[in-house]
Parts: sequence; C-alpha cells; structure tokens
Amino acid sequence: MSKSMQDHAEEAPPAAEKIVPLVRSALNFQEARNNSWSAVVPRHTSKERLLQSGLWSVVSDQFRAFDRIQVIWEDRSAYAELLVIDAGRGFCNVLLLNHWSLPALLVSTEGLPPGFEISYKGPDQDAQWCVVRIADGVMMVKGQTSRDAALAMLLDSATLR
Amino acid sequence: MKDADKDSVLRHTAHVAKHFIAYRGSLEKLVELIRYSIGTAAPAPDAIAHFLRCESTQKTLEQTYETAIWCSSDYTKSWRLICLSTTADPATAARLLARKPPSSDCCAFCWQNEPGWRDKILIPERDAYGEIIGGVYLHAPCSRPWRRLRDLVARSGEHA
Repeated sequence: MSKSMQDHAEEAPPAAEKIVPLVRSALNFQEARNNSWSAVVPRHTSKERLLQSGLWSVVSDQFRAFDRIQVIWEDRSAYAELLVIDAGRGFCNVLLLNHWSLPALLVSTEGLPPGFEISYKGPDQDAQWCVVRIADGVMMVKGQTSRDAALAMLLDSATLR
Repeated sequence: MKDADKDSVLRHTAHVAKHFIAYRGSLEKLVELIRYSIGTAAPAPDAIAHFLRCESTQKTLEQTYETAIWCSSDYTKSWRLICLSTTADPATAARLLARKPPSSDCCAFCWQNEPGWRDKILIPERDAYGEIIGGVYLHAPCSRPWRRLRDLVARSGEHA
C-alpha cells in the first residue's frame, strides 16, 4: 500500500451507526393500544389529590400504561390531563400533564369585587347595564349591553388594579 | 334602516324582553311593543319586522344583549322573545333550579310549553357526567343561562 493511500484510510470518518428501522408492528392506532378516559371529579379536588392513588383505587384496574385521562371538575371550574404511568387493581401512578383553571363566573361571588352594585337601568344608550360604587354613588360603568360586559369593564377599571 | 336605528331597536328589544321575561305571540304584536318602547323616533313597523327576521340580528341579540328571539317551528309559528339574563345570587339560582314547571313539556328556564313538540323542540338537560337529568327539558337558547345557574350553584356550594 502506498503512503498516500494509507493517509487516506486514516482520515476516513468512522462508519455511522446503522439505523434500525421500526418494524411494522411497532406502529398502531393509538385507539388500538391505549384508551382516552374522561373523569369527573368533585369540586374542591386539588391537583395533588389527582396524583394520589386512592382517588383512582376503584377504577384503576381499567387503566393501561400510557392511557390518558382528561379530568373535568364537576362545577366546570378546571380541566386537567393526566398520563397513566402504571396501573393495576387498587393502585395507579399518574403524571399531571396539564392543568387549566377555567375562567371564573363573573356573576358569582368569586369574580365580583365587594362594594359595587350592578343593575339594568333601562334601554337608553347611556343606561342599560350600569355599575355603581355603593360608597359614594359614582357610576363606574354605564351603557353596557350585558351584565358580563359591565363586570368585565369594571374589572378593567384602573381603580381596581 | 340606519345604524343608529338598528342600535336602538336592539336596545329596546332587550328592554321588552326584560319587561316580559318570556313573550310568545305574533311578530306584529312584538314589533308594536318595541315601537311603543322606542317612542316617536321608532322606525317603520315593516323595517323593524325585517330587521328582527335577520339571522344576524337574532345572533347579536343572543350573544351580546342577553336576549333570545326566534320563530318557533311548531304549527303555530309563533315568535318567542326570551330574556336570558341570570341572577347573580346563588340562593336565588338554587331556588329557580329547584322550581319545577307544571308539565314536562315546558322549558324549565322560560316555562313556555311545547305541547306535542317536546321531543322536536326541547332538549333534555345533561349533567357533567353526560347523563340525562330526568324531567328537565330546555329550548336550545335557554340552556346556556340554565347551565350558568347550575354552575353558579355548584361553585357556591348551595344545594339545588
């Protein structure tokens, strides 16, 4: 072997690792392998409670690993997605993928600041739904077409920041 | 009709709905009530009737003015005007939810009955589990405020 050919062989990069392609049976419909479950939990259920095995103890024998559970709170206050890591009769190991708090109901006490009164004051352009500050009678919002719009405007008001 | 007139008709339709809570009757009568509410500046009856028949008007009223208006598809072809405003008080909401209409062919929210047409016009209410709640049937536009009353009670902890 000549000198130049020897140099060339040393410079050649090492052979790339051979890619083993997936076999046909590795791919399947998600529905054929796993289930998507929908669970309704009582209100005031905490995020931590979702991960505890006890909550799922009655139903967990139906789960398979890598099933997904979408969790709906009974009062529509939140929504969560869980991934089942491992499950069997009476125990379940889940991972919290996502948790969203749904928007608060503006009509309920949770969205309404205290000390304001909202009322419908007739069909005129500047009346309709109005918000009055009870302490000094100042009209904070007027002329809104719905209670929600009036409340949203009140919550945007600079005095409530 | 001019934009200012359209706006005034929308506002006064919502006002009439709030006054009557649930109206059922002919469109002519409804237009008369709206024109009376507007007063002397009211547009012509035909213009108002045409405006109320437009789907876009009905959509605007339902989405932003808390008012549902539609022509019923039963044999009477009567017009319905329903106020969709809901109470903000959980105790009142619980009382409204517990109140049962006199017959199961009535809408539970607006109490207008649909004799013989319940299965075609009214929708049974479903809870969070997707199960049908027995004896509670609602018009499609009425189910949104009804759902809202349910949420209000559920989140406040009152019992319906």
